[in-house]
Amino acid sequence: MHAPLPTTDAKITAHEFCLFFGKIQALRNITLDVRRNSILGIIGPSGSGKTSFLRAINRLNDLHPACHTEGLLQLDQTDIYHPQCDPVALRKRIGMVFALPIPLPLNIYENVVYGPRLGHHCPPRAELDMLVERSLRAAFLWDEVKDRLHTSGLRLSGGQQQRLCLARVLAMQAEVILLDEPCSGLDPISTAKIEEALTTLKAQHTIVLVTNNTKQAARVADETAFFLMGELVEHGPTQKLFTVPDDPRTNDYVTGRFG
Amino acid sequence: MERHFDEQLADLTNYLIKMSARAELMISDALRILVNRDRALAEAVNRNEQQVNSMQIELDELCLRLIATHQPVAGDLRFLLGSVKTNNELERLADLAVNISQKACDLLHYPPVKPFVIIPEMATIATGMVKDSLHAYVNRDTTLARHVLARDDALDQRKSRVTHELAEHIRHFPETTIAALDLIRVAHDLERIGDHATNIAENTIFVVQGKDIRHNIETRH
Repeated sequence: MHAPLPTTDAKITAHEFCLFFGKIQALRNITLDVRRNSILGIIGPSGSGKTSFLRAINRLNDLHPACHTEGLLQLDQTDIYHPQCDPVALRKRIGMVFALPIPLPLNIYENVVYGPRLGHHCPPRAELDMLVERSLRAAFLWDEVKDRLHTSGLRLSGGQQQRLCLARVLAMQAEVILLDEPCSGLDPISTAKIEEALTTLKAQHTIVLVTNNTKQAARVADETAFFLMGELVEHGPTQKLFTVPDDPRTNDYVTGRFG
Repeated sequence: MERHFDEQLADLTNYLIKMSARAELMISDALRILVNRDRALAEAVNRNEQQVNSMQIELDELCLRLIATHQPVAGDLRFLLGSVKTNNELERLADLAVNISQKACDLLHYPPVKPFVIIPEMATIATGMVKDSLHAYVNRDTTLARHVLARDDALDQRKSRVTHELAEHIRHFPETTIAALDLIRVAHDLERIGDHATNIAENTIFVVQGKDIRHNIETRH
């Protein structure tokens, strides 16, 4: 019914993808590719469907009892919603960082290794040590916490907690990182550190960033998608969307005329 | 949704209109000195040039402030960049008006070289292009902008004719060389005025459509 798109560079492919919560249609015929090793920024006003789309990518919407989908959503040309697709296995490949940082009530070290320890084969201690350092460095947090890895993650600042959550995703060696408003409560310095981390991380990961801060999408995203009332209005190179958007509604949104 | 920023952009537009009106007045005064052989307006031209120079700096500061504080994107960003460039074009127009005024005053030291025909035609075309280009810019009228672009060739052709005719004149009446060369420079300045109007028209198309049509990269007409 829905043939996979003949794209080779796409890590994630949506084709005529629709999402429903009962009778309410949250997403309408979304068709877009997320290029491998790139950052896709998703912008749009409240209720536009950007978070629903993000949560559809790792099937978090499944937790809603009346949720169902139509069309196609693929990871590496494999249908995410195929009955044989295991959502738990999928979520190991697709990590997520939420708007509010939620560290586990454990120390910093244990926060990072919590996921890997849940696996079938818990790595030896030396390997875990390396994993912690590598993940915290990649999240731009190592230098700030390397001397207090055994203090509680809850004692970190908001910006540090958010980077700890990012490090937790990285420790799982997720291929895709989904971020839902990751800097909404952060100061400009913490925001800049997260953005620096994302820009570096795209070499190893594919990143989808939902943000209400259009300037953030302009700064870090390679491509940007503008959602409005469950529809994808425009998707293209970030530079184009913020200089010469094709659709007047995109122009109006990015220039702050509505939203 | 109405934005406070829109009011500031409207202020910027009004400023451009005032600056353009002053530059246009300078050009018409300079041409009157030339045609009527009356230096009375030369002082007004110089006075207005100082005003235009001050306005150029103020307008640049306004654009810089709006870019820094609002971090505009898309249509707003194109309008601000276009306005910075249009501001420069208007200042150059004022400079050219001063050039014409100075040459017109110099020419008063010599008897008229020959009756003017083509230079007044050039003046009409050039001042019309300036007026229309600014009108197109502030009203975001790309049709009018393209009409401005289309008139540039007529100006270039007339400048070539004037140059050719005056060169011939110099050959037959060498005693008129200095005055004839001044007139050739006036024709050159009028042609340059058309070029600046053309640049403003190109800015208009960039602001409205996001297309950069300079240097014939895209079709101009």
